[in-house]
Amino acid sequence: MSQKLELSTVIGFGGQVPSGMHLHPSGSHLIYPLGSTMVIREVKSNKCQFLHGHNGAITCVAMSNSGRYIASGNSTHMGFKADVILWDFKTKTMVHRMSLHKVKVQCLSFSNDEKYLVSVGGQDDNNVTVWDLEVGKPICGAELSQLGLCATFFNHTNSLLVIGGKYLLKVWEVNFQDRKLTPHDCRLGQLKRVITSVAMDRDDKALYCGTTSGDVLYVQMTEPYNFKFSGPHAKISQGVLSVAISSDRNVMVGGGDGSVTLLKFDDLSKIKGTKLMGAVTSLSLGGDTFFCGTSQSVMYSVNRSSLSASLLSTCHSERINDVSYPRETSDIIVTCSVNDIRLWNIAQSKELLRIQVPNLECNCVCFSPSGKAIVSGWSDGKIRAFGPQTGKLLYVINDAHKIIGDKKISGKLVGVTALAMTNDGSFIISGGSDGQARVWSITKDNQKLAASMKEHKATINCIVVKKDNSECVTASDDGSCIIWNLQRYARQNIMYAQTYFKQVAYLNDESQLLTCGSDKQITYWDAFDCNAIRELPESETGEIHALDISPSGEYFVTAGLAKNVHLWHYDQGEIIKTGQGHSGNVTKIRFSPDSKFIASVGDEGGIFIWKHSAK
Amino acid sequence: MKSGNYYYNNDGDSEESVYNLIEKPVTHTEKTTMYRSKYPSDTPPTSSTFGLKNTSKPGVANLAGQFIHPDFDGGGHTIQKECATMGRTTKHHINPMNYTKKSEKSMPQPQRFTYSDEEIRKPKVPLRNDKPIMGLTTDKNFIVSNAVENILSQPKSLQKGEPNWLAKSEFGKSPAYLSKIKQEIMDEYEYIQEMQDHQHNRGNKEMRALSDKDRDALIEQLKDKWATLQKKYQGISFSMPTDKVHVQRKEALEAEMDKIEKDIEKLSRRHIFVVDE
Repeated sequence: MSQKLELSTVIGFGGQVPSGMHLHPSGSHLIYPLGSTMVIREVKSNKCQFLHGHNGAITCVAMSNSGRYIASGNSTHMGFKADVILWDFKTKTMVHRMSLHKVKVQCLSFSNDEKYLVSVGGQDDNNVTVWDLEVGKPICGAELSQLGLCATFFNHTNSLLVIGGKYLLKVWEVNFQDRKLTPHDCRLGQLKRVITSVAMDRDDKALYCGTTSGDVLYVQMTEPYNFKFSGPHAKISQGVLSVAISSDRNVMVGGGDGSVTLLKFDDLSKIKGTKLMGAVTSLSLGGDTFFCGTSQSVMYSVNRSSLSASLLSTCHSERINDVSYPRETSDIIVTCSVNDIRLWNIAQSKELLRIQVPNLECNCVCFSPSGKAIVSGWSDGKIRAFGPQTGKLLYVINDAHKIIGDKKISGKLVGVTALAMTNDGSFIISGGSDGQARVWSITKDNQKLAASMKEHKATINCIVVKKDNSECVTASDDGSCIIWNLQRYARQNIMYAQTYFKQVAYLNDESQLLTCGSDKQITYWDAFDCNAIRELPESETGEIHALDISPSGEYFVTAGLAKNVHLWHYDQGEIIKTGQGHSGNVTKIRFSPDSKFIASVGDEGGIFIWKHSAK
Repeated sequence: MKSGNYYYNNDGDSEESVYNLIEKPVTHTEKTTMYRSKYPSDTPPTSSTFGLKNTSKPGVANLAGQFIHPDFDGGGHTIQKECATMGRTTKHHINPMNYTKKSEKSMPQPQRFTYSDEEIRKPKVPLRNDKPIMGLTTDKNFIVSNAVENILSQPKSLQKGEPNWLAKSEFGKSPAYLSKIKQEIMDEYEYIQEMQDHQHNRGNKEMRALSDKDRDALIEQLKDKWATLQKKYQGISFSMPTDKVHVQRKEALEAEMDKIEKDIEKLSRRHIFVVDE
């Protein structure tokens, strides 16, 4: 078994999961989901640990009162059972895997004594189940009339719990002897609300329910469970997504418009508020500061008394399509995603720059060799270059590649899908979903088409240029890699295989080429006559989408649908190390210029920086 | 494609660079001791004449880095004429020929005028009394030197690399000679076609096969005609006078009958083609 590839930094947070982020009661760790992985992050040192085990995206997270247990539920494909996994915080191990719900687990909640867990299934399941955590078996269950969205146990008894949802608010009584759940309807009168989040008063006297209508309902939690009043007077726009009770009994509310509002506990009038970026999906209260996670995957720490928010971390909230290092530093990377390009200082896990172009997707990005421009290819078929310090638009090449509506030949990306710059920085070579490779001559004032090379019949996924700028290689979905002569702008040689070529890389001395693709194989090619030298089956489980050779040529890394990052020895052709962390398809992987780090990005929006030592 | 060091290019970038984003380590400089001047604090300002004891020549304090106090360390007071005390210094040489000339000190010395663009000006027109140098010849053997130069010369370097065929103006167009030849072939073909058409049309219009019926009718008519002529010929008297009129009449009849016989013979062939006039 190969060794583990050690992680240096992870930048990622699944912000869309409702109340996904939790602060450990000790205040030392933040727990949040990233794709199908749970991340436990030390607040001070930003060190991360991972809990792997889910086979689908995590949809809900719960933490027990003392912080001993973490529970997380996921969603899977239609017709399969979704898991609830109970984790032990101390040992960071899985305690129980509990599968009963179909397709999706909607929400979870621990009982006050950490003996029981309630889980509510999604739309295709509509069941509520109470689990015994000692044995990891269900005790009792019942069917819900409507979709349940949130649940909580009472604070002083383990036999009562509340479930809120779509036009639904019920108190359930658990009978452990008879294994029965008895519902009691809450009396909301004429009120019709979709309840997205609930928070129980400390004394179990009242329940605060956040609704999509933008108000908070105060519901009495003693029989007969009457609705008392609602607030605040001015409704929170785009609905209430999260509710939490602060230590002074007041109610903290996170809204869909990014507002965090403090409401008075006895009449739900607004005390004060602040505004964050993205919808506030999770609120996690600590001592003086509390933590907010938003749907745009931004984490804030907010001072409780002044409600002044300070940015804790940012990350991509959508899939990342490309990652690139500048040529002469390993401290900075650029990543591109739907709508934006971001520049990161990875030594400090800090976002340096964000370049947003609304409603477009950036497919590929690279630095100019001098480091003076970020060149990117977009889904509208344009190439845009930005200044790396201000993010100012330097130039745009319009209609660089054809997009006929959204029609594409292959792949999921449209427009400009691959980019490379020659080493003198005077030419851009771009590949598109129209199957063309185009060479653009770039000067300070104008950018014009030098040549259009049309031989590929499908999307070009990768372009690499030789060091002396005499040739470039394009890898395409049509099952061919073409070596182009950049003097004559004509085909020099071609490699065929029964695969969708995803990436190609030159060995450091440019004598060999490495390709990977959908055939789950890595192939060594002779760069001169384009004969296949050697084939390595990487994994039986997934296509290989990403590949990079270390600057020394001694190692290379691959990753893909199988989620694992593999470090190979080039000559031996064996996996030396395996890195686990990604929870989805890995889209790109790169060695840093000093070859001390490996950066990989994936569909779940996470940036993973792996440590790589030469020996 | 150009190659070269990428530091000296302009790839459309602005002056901002990604490398400026790398945070540089903060350097802590050691605090140096407070500056204290090595000169006395009561040094007067530069060129100060304030408060100096003056006699024949006023002293100027702190001039040209002279930080001495003129009143104490020499200044106005101590400035004395040369050779006022011990005579001239021994290293002072006096050239008697280099005496001060008239108005040397008051007027500037005349200087030869030079143009500012002297270097690029044409040479001066020769003077009237300048004589050209005659009989200048060279003893260089041009034939030999040319041969030597050519033998020793490097061959002309050929054009580097393959020319960019794609950049040629006629790239993607069919060459002119091809279209020319094609045009010639077409012209010739058209000419032949025209000729053939012409011939064909004429044949169609003028020649036609005579039907058997027509032919038979013609022959029948000719035979009738021949029979009348024959009757007439037989009716000529045996003792015909031999005068010119009668002989001519008889010979005309004979000729006519011969012609008709020939026509009948002609019309009796298998295929008869006629031309409609």
